[in-house]
Amino acid sequence: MTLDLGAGASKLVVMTRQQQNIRWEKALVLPPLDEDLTFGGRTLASLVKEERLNGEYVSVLISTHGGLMRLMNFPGHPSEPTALQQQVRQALGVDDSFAVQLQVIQEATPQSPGGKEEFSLLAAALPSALVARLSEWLLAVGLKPVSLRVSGVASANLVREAPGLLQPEKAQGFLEIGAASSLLMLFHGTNLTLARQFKFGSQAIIDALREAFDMDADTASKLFVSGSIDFSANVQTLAKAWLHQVGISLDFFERRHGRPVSTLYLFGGGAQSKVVEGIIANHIRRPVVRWDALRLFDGLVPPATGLGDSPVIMAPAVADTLISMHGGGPHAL
Amino acid sequence: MRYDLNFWPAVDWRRESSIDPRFLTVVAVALVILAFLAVWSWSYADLQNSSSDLLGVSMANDKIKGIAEDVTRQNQCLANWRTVTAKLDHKAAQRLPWSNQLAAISQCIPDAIVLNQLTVRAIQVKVEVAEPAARTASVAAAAGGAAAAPRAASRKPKLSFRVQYELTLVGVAVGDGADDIISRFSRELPRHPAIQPWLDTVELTGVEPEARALNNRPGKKFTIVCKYRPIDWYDETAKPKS
Repeated sequence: MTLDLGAGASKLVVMTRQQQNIRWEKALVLPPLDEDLTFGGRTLASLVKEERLNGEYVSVLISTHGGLMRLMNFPGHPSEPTALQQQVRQALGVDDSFAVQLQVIQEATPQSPGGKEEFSLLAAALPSALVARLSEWLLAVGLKPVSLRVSGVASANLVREAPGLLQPEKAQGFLEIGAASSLLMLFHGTNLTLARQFKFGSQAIIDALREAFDMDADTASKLFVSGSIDFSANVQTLAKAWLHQVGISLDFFERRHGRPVSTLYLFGGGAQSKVVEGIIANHIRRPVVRWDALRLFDGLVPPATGLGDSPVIMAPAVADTLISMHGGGPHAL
Repeated sequence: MRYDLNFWPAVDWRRESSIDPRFLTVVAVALVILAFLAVWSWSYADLQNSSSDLLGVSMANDKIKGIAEDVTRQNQCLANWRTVTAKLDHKAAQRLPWSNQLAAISQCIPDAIVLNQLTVRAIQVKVEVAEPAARTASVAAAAGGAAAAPRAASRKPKLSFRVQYELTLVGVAVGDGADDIISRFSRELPRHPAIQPWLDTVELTGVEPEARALNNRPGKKFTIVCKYRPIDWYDETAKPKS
């Protein structure tokens, strides 16, 4: 079972595995997890009982509550772990109250002929108290915590694991538009070479629509997704800074690697809007497509019920579940 | 390369896929309890079966109890009758087989002798009977200890009554050598196998000339008295001398 705790909604995916056969049992879209660790007043215990969730092992993805993810480049070779972690803490700007996880994703290589060597690492940080609290929360319900990741890491894994998507000698961009934040990931071949988080998401656009058309939040959300009204003029100013940063990042990447970004794939809850796709495409002047990641996973059959209207928002949770199932090798689950 | 960056400790899938030792312990304890319950159940069922069988046997016993008592009583009666029959047979065996005696006598009589008179007389005689020594000693020891044994040995013999038959044959021997014929007859008569076991004494008396004994032929008249052994009609152990 994977719980994707997003700012706009929580997504729950349950999968079972028999030998090599993986079956997607359940998909639920829930209200976001509040400070009391309930889904709009609904506890996890009641959720497990009422929805008959038979998942024993649980992975959690979190994009709220102060979660950070950043791709960093450091000159030279990786230093010893303690010093490296201190270095990452300084770069992330977090103190000891945060737990930090890091992974060197590219060994030291010269970035240009005759240039200095650099290595890349992916770092994520979460408040230590939250890490412990979420673990206790699951254990109290009788579930076994398997992994806790910042949702951006799961999104990166989704791109990496999508069959046939990344290709060598090709640059591709992926923009996950969440409710409260968005994540831009640029891949050179199969390597993640740039990742940037922006504190801008679909919720800001929906709020702008709500104010502009004087409608309730639910109607504004449906208007945002439907694409029946072109609201690009209403959010141009709001999204200008965000779009500018996305464009700068693309330009930087292309200059650095000398390769154009062939396509920018949009996914996440905000990518359900055709209008947003148009706004971004008009601004960055590059091919933009809304990406239905789950179509790439052959044999993955979504459950008949519970998926709602937004199968695409389940993609990171599905990828994380698959990774958890395959991660243990023959002994997993 | 997958991006791990997991904030929770990695799960040991090898351990997770193995059987929890606590579960094994619970299973082992449950098996022991189950085995104990099974043994107890079997024992109880066995006991119940035994009780049921016992009850059935008891009921069957009650049913045949009257029959068994009748059979026992009849067996006792049969045993008594057998004893009585045996005693009667024994007593019958003790009685003189007079038919045999007479047949034997007839075989012994030579042609030259004609018996004129045959008389059987029963005489009651007294005999002294000593008690068996072992019984006397044991009775005396029980009564007075070792010192009483000599006294018991010297006790007076017990008197008992017997029946003694006396057979008297009166006949005539004719022809020459009648005396020899008579004496030979008196000697051979007690030697006959049918007579000898029973006979005590044979006495030849009264040999005297007879003028016309048979067909006007001269002969000698004689009397032979055969005394048989006294017979105790009530003593089962008395048997004829073989």
